Amino acid sequence: MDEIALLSQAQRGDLDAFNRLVLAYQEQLFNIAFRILGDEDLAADATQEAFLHAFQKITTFRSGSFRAWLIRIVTNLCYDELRRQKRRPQTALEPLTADGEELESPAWMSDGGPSPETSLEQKELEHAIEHCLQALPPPFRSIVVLADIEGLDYSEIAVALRIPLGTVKSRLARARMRLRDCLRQFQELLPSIFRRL
Amino acid sequence: MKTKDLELLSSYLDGALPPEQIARLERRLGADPELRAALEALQQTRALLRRLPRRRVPRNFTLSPQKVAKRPPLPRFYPSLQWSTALTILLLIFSLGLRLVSPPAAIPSLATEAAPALRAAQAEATEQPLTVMAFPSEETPTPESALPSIMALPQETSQAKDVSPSLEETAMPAGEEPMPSEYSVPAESASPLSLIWVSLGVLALLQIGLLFGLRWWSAYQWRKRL
Repeated sequence: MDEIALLSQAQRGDLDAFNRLVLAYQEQLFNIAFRILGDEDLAADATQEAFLHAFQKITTFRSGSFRAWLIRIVTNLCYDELRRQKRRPQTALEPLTADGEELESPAWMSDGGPSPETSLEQKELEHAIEHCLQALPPPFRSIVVLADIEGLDYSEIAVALRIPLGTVKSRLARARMRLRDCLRQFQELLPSIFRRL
Repeated sequence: MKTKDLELLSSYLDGALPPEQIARLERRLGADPELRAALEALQQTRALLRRLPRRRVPRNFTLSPQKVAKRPPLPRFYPSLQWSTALTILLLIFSLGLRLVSPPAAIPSLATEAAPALRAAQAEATEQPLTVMAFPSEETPTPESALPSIMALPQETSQAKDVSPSLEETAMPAGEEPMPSEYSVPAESASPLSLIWVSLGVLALLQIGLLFGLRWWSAYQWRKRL
């Protein structure tokens, strides 16, 4: 994929060229949005809105990393969504299963973590990590997501989040430490090699 | 654990430390088991995060022409033009506001300064014909005939004040240079301002027209491309 050529065509209003860029980056953007928001539907909405916004503003993109530019748009939209949620907190009174049945002992009534009976399945571990990620303040969360889940380097994170490199380093270190502290309560879920956390 | 050490360990883990700092930290790691344990914990946390499975996208996020048709892409300089139009309009409003505030203060002061001199000149101008009218044939004026003329004086002067510019001109001796009128001062000083207003107004109108034109042109081009 010749990104520069596609970008140039997209800047002239070529929607097909832009859509090829969408296909190249949609999975990464969706995963970032999902890890920041912790909800698949909201993440899908944020991703769609991010691409629409990117197309509208494509002429303002000049140089640098197009991926970092897209990530900046989607993280900003995620922050907007989190702010909206904070203003209007919504907690379902009766959590339902996928079949529409009411949960007997819903997780929101427990201590916040998975119950001791949960197995060591990958899904449960993912749930625990997700729980700890959501416990981080959004600026720390987004850095961990970008660095440790998406594998971006420090400079690209600094560009994407518009923060100095030093802030990236310090926030990442503190976020990792907080995550480690949080994950300690899920020792039984962790694979044996991580038990000594 | 100090925050500084935590940052060092985190950067070390990501290979983001300069070589001299790496050597120093590795020496410390060899000697400090607590530091080693912290590094191991960070390493394991990062490894856990990296093991998280990637979610598959629930659908494709490609854009359809219908989705973007409402908002065609605008030229790159469009936002700058919007700002400059706003600035022009603000300047225009500001200068109009200045005009509204300052001239009423300037005009009355000129008028009050000019009033005594003007009244004196008018009095001179009105006394002359009145004397002639009052004593046309060097006769001794009877109190009855003098009274109207005396009573007429203030009336005449008050009328003269109302039409002061014309009286001032008529009272001037022929052949002399006309005195500069105080009332012409604000008019003269206003003309450069008016020029600025007109320029700003025209500029604002042009910019607004250009903004609308660009929007229309972008929409037209966009429809053609679809």
